[in-house]
Amino acid sequence: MSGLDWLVLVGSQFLVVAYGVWKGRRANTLEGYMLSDRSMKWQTVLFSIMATQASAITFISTPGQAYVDGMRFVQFYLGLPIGMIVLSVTAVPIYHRLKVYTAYEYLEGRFDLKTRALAASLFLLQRGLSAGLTIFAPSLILSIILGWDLYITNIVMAALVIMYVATGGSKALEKTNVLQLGVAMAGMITAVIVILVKLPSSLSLYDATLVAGKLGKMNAIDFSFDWNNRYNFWSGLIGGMFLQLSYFGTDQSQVGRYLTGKSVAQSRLGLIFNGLLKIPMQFFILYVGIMVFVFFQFAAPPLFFNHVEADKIAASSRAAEWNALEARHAEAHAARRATVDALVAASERNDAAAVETAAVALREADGTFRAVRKDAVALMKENDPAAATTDTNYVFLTFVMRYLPAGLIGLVISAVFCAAMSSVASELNALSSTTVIDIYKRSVRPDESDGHYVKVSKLATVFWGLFALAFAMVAHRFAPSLIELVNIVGSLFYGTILGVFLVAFYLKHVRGTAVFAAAIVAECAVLLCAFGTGIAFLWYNVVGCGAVILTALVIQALTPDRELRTQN
Amino acid sequence: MDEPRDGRDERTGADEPPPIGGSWGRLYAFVMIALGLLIVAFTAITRHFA
Repeated sequence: MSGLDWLVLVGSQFLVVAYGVWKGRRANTLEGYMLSDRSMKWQTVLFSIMATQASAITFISTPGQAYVDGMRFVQFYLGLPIGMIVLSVTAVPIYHRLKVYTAYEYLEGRFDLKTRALAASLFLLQRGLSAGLTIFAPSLILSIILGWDLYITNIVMAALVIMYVATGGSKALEKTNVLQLGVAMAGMITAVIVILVKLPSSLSLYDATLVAGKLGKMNAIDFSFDWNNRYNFWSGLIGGMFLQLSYFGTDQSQVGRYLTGKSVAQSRLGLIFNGLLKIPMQFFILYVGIMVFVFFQFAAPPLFFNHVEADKIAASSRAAEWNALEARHAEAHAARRATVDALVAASERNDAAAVETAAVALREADGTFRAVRKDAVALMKENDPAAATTDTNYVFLTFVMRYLPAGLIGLVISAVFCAAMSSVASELNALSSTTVIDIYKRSVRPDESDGHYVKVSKLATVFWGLFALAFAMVAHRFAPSLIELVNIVGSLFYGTILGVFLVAFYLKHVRGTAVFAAAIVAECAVLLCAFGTGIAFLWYNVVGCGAVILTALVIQALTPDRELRTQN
Repeated sequence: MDEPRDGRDERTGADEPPPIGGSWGRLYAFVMIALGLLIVAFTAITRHFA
């Protein structure tokens, strides 16, 4: 990066963090530290919700996902608007009415302490791991760009975030989330403008999209049903809805955001607008990846986007074979480029028959091109079985570093940092809230002063920051695509937690012991699906939720009288 | 907390009108229509560029 890039990056981050600390300087009460005194308008709630969900992983991995897999990931979000409506009708009024700090507080009144503790514990485990991934992602960027050691980079990143969250609390993160989302989107918009400017001047946006479409990348909707297909209409609408219901309805990192709304209406409207804006936003970020894909139909892409792995094999005893593959790759790219030119020319002539002929030739050339890449990956595996042979996460950043002008690189990297910090801030705040409210204040020290709990909250923030850091240190060993990994980890637990909450909301006759046992059974079923079957991960949410509801109903039906006597 | 936790009884505050859009029902319908239009648009994009 140039001096100008560093100036943009460091300057913008300093301003954002300073703004956050300044805004959070008066968070001296527990309600102020955890929920911003429940004083936020719907716009702040909306942008804070969006900034929390859109982490650095969203901005790094999603364009790469589109580059490799096309637009189909957008289906993941199809259930979100429905989930927002359901939560607006059900959960938001209940949480506001009870003035809870965390979602899990509600479960004790409805069921019992052990159910509250179980749900809180599942949340702490899954969100602690996810926070580790959220720290890991931007650290990965820095380690690639600057050649820094990944472990040291993780530590630096975590230390900055912990310092910022622990001092500012919710008041700081709500305000900075809005700012950070703005910077993040500005970075993505800048990137797509640069891509469009750098594409051949004769190429229209329509023709660029046509090229991507003919290579199977504009696959935004797939109505075919397949349990093992990770992203299709049905898994997105049904499985995705369950995941989003659980994420927004029971995950404290989101519940904590809309509980800051100053009324039911303000919280609801934030959620409703999230339902309107989230899918178009994700479509746009995926489309950035599609444009990077089209850009690399004209400019020569590297044989492998992770240059660290590429450099490793180029310096090994297999270097000659690697160099030969690079030569073949360049030839295949040139041949494919010729077919792309033919397709664009046919499209400009409005010659439908010629377009289809050129498309066939393009797919054939692309097949040859991809075969070379496949050979390269196989060679890397032969050379080093432990080599990271997935480069999805490196695609977008490779483009940024190679083709963006000085200053704009700093802006995009700053955007990634902003996205990371907004998500980690919300996660650490939620982990701290749950630890203090659901465990410490409830079961350890129930009668301390507000000031004491604020201090403990800050310590809990530091603890969870360190926990997340520990996971970040090992995350690179199993990160095929970071955004998928986050969602897979979430899906292992979300269905069960959602099932517990749905029973709480709608099945009034079911009591604590039944739902507690059902949650244990359901979690076992989810883990069995994850590690014993090939079922796509979005369905884990349906399995977990369904298993809780059914098992709880059965157990309650078998032991109704004694249970009711116990409860009463 | 001393208040009862029965969900059905606690849904007060749900009658508060939205700051914009007139009524919640109208807002929810708007979101569903927008989702439907997005699905139609995505389907059209997928088929047109395939």
